[in-house]
Amino acid sequence: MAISKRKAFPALLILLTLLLASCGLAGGQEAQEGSDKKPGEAAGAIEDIKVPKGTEIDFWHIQATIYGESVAAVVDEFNATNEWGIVVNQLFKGSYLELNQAIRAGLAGGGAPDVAMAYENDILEYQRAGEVVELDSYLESEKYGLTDEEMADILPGVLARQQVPAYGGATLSWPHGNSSLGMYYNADLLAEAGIDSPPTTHDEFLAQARQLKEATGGKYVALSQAMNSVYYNLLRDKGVAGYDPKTATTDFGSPESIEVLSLLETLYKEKLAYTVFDGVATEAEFINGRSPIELGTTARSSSKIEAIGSNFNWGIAALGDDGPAITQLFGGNHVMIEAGGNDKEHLAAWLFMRYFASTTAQSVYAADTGYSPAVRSALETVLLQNDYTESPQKQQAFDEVFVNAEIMPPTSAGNAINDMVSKEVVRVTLGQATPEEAAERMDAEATSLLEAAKP
Amino acid sequence: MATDLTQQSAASDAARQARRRRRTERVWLPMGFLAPTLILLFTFDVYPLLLGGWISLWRWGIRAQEFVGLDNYRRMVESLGVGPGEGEVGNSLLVTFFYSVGVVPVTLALSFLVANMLFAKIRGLTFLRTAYFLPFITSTVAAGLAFGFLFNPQIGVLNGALQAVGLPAQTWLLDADPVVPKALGAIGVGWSDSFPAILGGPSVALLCVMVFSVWNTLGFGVVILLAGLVAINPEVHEAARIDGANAWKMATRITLPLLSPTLFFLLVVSTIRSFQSFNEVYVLTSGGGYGAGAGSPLDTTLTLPVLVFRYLYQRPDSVGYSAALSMLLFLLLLAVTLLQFRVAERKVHYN
Amino acid sequence: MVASRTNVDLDTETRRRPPVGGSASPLKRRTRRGRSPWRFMLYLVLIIGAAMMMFPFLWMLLASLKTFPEVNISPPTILPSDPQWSNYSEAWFQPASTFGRYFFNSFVVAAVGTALQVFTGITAAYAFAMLNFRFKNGLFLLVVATMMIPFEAKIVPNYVLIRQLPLLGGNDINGVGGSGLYDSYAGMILPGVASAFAVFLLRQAFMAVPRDFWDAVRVDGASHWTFLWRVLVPMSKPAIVTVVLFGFLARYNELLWPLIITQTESIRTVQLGLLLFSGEEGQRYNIMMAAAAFVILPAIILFVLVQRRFIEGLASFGVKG
Repeated sequence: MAISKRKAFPALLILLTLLLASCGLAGGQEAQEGSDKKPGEAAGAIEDIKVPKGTEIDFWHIQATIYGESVAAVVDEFNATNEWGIVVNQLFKGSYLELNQAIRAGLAGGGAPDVAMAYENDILEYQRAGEVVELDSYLESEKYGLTDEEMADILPGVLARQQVPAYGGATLSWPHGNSSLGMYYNADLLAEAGIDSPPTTHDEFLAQARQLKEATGGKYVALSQAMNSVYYNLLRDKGVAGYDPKTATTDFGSPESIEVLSLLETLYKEKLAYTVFDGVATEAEFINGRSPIELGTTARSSSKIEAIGSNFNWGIAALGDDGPAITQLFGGNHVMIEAGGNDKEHLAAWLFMRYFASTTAQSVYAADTGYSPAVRSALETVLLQNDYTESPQKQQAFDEVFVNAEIMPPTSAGNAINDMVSKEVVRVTLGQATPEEAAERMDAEATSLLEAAKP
Repeated sequence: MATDLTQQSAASDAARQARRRRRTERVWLPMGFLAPTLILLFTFDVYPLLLGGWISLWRWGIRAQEFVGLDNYRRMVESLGVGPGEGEVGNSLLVTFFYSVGVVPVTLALSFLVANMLFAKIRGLTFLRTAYFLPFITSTVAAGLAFGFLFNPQIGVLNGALQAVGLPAQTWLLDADPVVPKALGAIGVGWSDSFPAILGGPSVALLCVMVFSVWNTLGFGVVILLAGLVAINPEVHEAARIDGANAWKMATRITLPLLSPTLFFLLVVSTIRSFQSFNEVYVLTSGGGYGAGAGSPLDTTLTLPVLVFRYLYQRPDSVGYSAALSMLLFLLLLAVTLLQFRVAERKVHYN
Repeated sequence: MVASRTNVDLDTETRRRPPVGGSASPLKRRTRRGRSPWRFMLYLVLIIGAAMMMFPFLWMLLASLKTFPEVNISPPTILPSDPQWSNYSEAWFQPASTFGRYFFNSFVVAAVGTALQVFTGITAAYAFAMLNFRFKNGLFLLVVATMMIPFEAKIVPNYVLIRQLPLLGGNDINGVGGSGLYDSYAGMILPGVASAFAVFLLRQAFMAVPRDFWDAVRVDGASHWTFLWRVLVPMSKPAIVTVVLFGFLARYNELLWPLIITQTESIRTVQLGLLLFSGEEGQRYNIMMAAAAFVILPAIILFVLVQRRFIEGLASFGVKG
């Protein structure tokens, strides 16, 4: 009686909790069941889908400030001019971290978007959960797809990242905005030291660094703590790929890798390079004339143009070595989420994605921001031509750096490998490890990570 | 309880009524008072905790993938490692330990000191109190940027000051060397590599993060203690003053004991916050978007929440492992808090 | 000549006059502290400390008035060479909803959420402090333990729960079909209403009240409810005000949960608006600082109001034995 009532109280609470728990898990299951159908199964049916007027789709992205404004402008333009009456609701969802959280929550509890921004590693995860809509049937469709010319118009590096080998031969994403890792150089500072053009090989790089130190006593380059990007870039300058997820092998132990690590070791030993906090800090070093060279993303060319003004002459180039100066490709892509809607909404989403990656939209995006356009035809628009005349560095970024940009092979172990590489390279710069030791460790670690990540 | 009552006669109405009233007092009344809080807490806090425990038994990416039982925990134990820097989890526990031990006592002591000072009769009290509270309400991002400037190796104020007095500039947030050997080395005392890592203390970077943390949370502690100070009957202080107590005696013999419930509260809450603090560490160490995760340099600022974050966002299919780490964090915190209740609450003077 | 309206008029002994027995007792004598070196030291230490505390805030204000090129100069200039007051209007009007709307939403969420939080906190704390029941200590520890749950762990489960609440937002009895309380004020407020912090703090405060009060009131046959609201709450004003302050600040500064649970611009809060100034590809630092400055303003105002109450002595002590 009285005793059992008191015991019932906590028991009731536990029961309540278990009830809620089962509800939550059941909800998750339901969402999962809905993901098994794929539009690719009914390929010819794409032509027959009629998109009702006023179809709404949700587009979640991570762009703010001028990038966000530009995205909003492109979306508004699409909403106003598209022939199907599709309405896109664009929503800023914070950074990639918050966006991922939001998508996971949406996949678990309902409310996932139709289109979202994602990097290749994210797309791999979504694909494993069966949540990515393959785009090939849309691409090949007569009515809604792309012609051969339009496909050829897309820059090879950009197209390749939508169709990476890890996707198993499918196209799982479509371009959003792209940038690349370029070498900014301060022409005036270099001239003071008797250098009249930026280096084109690693040996020249080192030689110029020494020359500068002798002439003016200053350091040559500021590097951010996230040293993996720089390392990958220098490695690929030598014509070496980096790693291959399919065979779970890496080039981190190769002689080229040791050369790159030795270069970095030397730069630090002779006090020709120094480490700063992050990409913002390296930019600060460059803008304020303390570091004549900066290895940074071309997306920041527009902010540099505004910040530097006419203070000094500067430009962007690609470093290269003996190889063809392949550089890192950055920026996110658009991915279509399966759970976001039905067939009609998927088609509407595709039409939006197609628009965003086409000439007009990419031209506007590239003119407003530091991104480079995904399609060559954008360079012929009046808007972009005028913009590039005003801002020659952006033209330089496109011609010399962006056209050769490729991503590193995506793998679910990608983040882990990046962190590990950064750490080892930092150790080398601090003199806590020799290039040989670091190379060996990197190779071993990365190989085991890739092995574990093999499907 | 039924055993408290002496049941004389089951048929006695008075006894039955007394029982009913007591039952009301002991069951329904508390339930009534507690119901809104408990229902909400169970729904939105306890349930996620239990769910997290459940998830930690799975390999989980976007969705559940495979039931692996205690595999995540086994992996955690394997990652404890022996020796310095080996084993991510072991390193993380050490870092979290340094961080809490460094931040909580300092915050408590400083808060007590400052709260007492801000309770005295002085001018500009509103302004001063607001000043001390500002860091707490300034967004961590803005505060982190300003502090980052302070610690900037190239142009920061600290290095400028050091160099002005002839001391070498430091790399501060980029410095992964442990503090104790460095400090001892500066005054000429040697250090042996065979000493265990724990004696080396936190890295310089972690020390900087701790300073930032104390600075950030000081206002919080001061306000809480001020509220406690205000509630102390002033006549007690007057009486002590009449008896000729000086400021020190007042603080330790009178204020301290009377403030102990509030101090205890602050101790528990500060510990909990320090174990969970993520923003402070992330803002000062995340070192750029494309590559270096938080916890740099060389993972010497990798507190447990940062580790949880790493496995939740930056590793594939690791939501389950991350949940296991969350459980570890929770259990650790629970143990520490229980200890605090056992040990410290004895010393608290309630009226 | 000090115009400060704080407790300058009261000297040290008479920090707070008890409401009962207004005339100055002979015990309250003025001690001549005057200009002793101790006071000077005190001031000095406090002011230096205050400067250190305020430095990032001042930094923020100064940066908010600079142009974009100037804000990128490092080592930074101290005073802006050409104060851009327009940064503030630009920041205010830039987002689609403008900050006017954002502030309204933040206030609604914070005010309602805090009021509910205080109410549930007071009642729960009363139970833990004054009543006796089985499992009291266990339950209290459980409540405190909920503070230890890492935030990320709660996001997805809470989201699912909010979306699948039965019979709300188009959901049927099983919670399927609609979107529950997603994208609503209620959805933003609900998960944070119960606060272990509030319960804990108030429990400490209630437990510090002498037992005599309870016994005295009980004799008159007052119920628990009356005692709580008529006696205990007025006596615990500092603690309650503290709970209000921190509760409000916590809701006001909340970022991740509102970001996840809302979609419509017209109900988004101030912190989300602030996020619009720092994107993946770079920040408009000077505009962001301007926005941050007016975002922080309500918090400062609230604090100033609250701590004034502290000084003016809300704790009214009745007759003490």
